[in-house]
Amino acid sequence: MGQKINPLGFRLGTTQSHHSLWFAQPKKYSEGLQEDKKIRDCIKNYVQKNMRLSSGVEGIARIEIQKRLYLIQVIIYMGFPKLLIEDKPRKLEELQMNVQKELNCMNRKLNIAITRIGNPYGHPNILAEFIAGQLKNRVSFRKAMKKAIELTEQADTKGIQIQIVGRIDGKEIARVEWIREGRVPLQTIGAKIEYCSYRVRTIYGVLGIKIWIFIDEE
Amino acid sequence: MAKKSLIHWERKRQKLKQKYHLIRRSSKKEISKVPPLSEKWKIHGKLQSSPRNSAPTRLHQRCFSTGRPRANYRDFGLSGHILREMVHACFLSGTTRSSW
Repeated sequence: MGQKINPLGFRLGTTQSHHSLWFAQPKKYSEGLQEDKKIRDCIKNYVQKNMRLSSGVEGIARIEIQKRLYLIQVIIYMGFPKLLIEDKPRKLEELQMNVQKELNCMNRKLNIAITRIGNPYGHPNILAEFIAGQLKNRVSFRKAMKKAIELTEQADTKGIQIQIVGRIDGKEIARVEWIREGRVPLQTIGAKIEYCSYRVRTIYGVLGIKIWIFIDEE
Repeated sequence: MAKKSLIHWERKRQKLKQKYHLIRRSSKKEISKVPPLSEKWKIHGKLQSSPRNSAPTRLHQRCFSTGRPRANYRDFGLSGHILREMVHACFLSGTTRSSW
């Protein structure tokens, strides 16, 4: 088994853009990073808590943070933004209050926006959460992987590769299982590849899910 | 993940350092200005009376995400392993893999 580099990090200069866009002087850079981490953790915990109440599949694809002098702009890309948009805009405000309390910065305004992604199952994070849910309910892993691939075929993807590692089906001996559909050119830097590595905690231990989705080629 | 107690001790040291920062700085200036040695001993006594944990040399940089005491980078405040993960997750604006 070769050692594969994370395709997102591999393409950072060219086909991949950063999820945090801001500038800071070297002495203040780590404070900015800590703020970012607090924002992201706060949002994820909030969404997870509310998901348990409503039992929907709320997938956060990514969280983009842009910082300016007097404004912090957070854009949450979600697959199914039901809870946070439709019911009441109160949930969004609650989220904003929580994050602001975490940050406790008076001189900068915080603005949270939610964007819906076109094809939610074309994004590996959302797909990984879907597979994780299935594995927790002890669906056979082959079925879970094949169902996930069906979902991506409805979205526009040219290739997908899914890998599950660990105590599959609760067996004592851990193994690696993977399937691939279409083409996933990992060595081509010009190819846009989305990647996600996700951990599922089952009663038998932790399963690692890695998903590579080939979207487009320039 | 480092022991929580260790991370809290670090925080305690940082608070004390903040609190006694100006006092220590003024004492050190006085010592360098005043010529006679007996005076220097007195001021040195003042310096010694502030708690040990207020000395900035007692601080140890720790990774802010895991608390790891080794392999930390001051530019990011993170340990090497976490730094690498965050770079690949595109969280650090402006960082790319270098090759030339």
